[in-house]
Amino acid sequence: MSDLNPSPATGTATAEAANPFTAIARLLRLVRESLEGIKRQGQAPRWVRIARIRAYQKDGDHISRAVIPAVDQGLIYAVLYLAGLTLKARDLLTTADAATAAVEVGGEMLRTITTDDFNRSLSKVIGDDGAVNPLRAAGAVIEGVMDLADKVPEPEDLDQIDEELYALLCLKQLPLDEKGLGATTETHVDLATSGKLRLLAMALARPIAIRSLGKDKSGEQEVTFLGGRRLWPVAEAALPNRAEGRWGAGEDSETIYEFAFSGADSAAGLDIAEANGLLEKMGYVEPAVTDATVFDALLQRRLRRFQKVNGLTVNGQLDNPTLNRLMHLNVATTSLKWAKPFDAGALPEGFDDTRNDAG
Amino acid sequence: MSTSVNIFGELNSFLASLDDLLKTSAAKNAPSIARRLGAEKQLAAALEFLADALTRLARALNRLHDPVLKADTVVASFEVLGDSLEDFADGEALKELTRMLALRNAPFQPLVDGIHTSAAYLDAALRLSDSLPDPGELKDTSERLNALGARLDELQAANTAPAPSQPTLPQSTNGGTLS
Repeated sequence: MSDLNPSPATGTATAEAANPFTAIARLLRLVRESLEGIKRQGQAPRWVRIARIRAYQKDGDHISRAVIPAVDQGLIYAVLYLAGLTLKARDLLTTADAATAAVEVGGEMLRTITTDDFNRSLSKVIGDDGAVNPLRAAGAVIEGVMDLADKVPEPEDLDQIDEELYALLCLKQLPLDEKGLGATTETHVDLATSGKLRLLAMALARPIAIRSLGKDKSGEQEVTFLGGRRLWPVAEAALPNRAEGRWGAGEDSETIYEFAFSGADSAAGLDIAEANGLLEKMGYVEPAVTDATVFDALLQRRLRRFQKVNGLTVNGQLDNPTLNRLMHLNVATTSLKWAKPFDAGALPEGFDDTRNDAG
Repeated sequence: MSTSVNIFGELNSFLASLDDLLKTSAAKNAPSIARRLGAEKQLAAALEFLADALTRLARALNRLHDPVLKADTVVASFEVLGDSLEDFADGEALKELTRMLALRNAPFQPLVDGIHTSAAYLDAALRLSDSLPDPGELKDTSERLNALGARLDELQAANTAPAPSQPTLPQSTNGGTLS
């Protein structure tokens, strides 16, 4: 290869290895590790220490007024916003990746054409040995374009951010087939493996906004109670009437969040209404439900449609994969993933939303 | 300089020593000794004084509980912020972006400098927060106080109870009490 067409290998290799999103992923990892970490032996992890402010929410003093917005409107809002941005960025980068690939193929071809070697060969073919390479100048321009294309991040560069956001926001419920699960069951969430920011939002009983719902991504649904207790198709009175997340063991354990689902001013049925709200914002409006606060066969049918479109196990249950996917989280890959809106074309012909997957 | 942390540490040590003292056989025998000396009233007054002091201390600690817990939530929030800034303050985190964009200078230096300064202030504030008592220490102190209170109650009960019959004492021929 001539000097006019130097191999960009060294510089490009360095640029290819770099990931522009590493700094953000690192920041998220530090936040997560710090929330889960302790400063002194015997001390509760920081997220538990922060969650304790829940007991003083009504005090309205300076500390409550500073800590709660810092967590709710600061940290949680920023992380949710970043999650939305990451999902959109991946879409953009997937498109850009195809464009980059096209530029790379085209650029490689053009680069070859502009080399002196190629020009000399061509000159020989046409019998004009002494011709000066007229495309030599274009070679530098093509190099510039190729160099620029190299700097466009790849969708995989977002993987680290994805993992960290998932780890902060996911919700892991205990098994739905637990023996003895019923109206008096109070413990529903595995605090150790759930995202600590999601748990903090639950501790403060503050809603998180699930955005970009539906085909045009304009839908938004606030979620406060969904996920706090396990749900299955049965009358409200037979569902758990209380949900409590406790950290620690024995006498030293402490309440992180608690929701009442029975009695006056309780959140009875509100978590089911939130699930229905998410489904409707994504276009899963059929079959129409008569009462959005009840987990009945109609909601099960909606869930089966959602599960089928999103490639989940079709069982009509609000299991962990379904619950998290409703909030753009993918349990199988522990990363973010758009909850796909309803698309009749994505359902196989003759799909029966009253039946579960075989097996 | 004494910080609240070592004040609570020292208070816990003192309460532990007091508890150990009250567990000794000498302390347990104090009511019977006082009875022999006819000093039950004085012992009762001393025990009451001690119990009263411990009650006042427990009340003060209870009043501290909420402010300490609230302050700890602020400290924990700032610790998260501090930990997050730490890595950015040395410029390491932004190095890859500089490298990726093939920038020769350090374009993020002003940002890194700003973060470095903020991190230093935060670090200083967090060091100050080390002098705040930990909610766990308060809990320890409360538990020690409760244990001590129970032990004092036992002693007081033994002191005010009628003396047990002492068949082993040869001089007690009529089975009466010493009081």
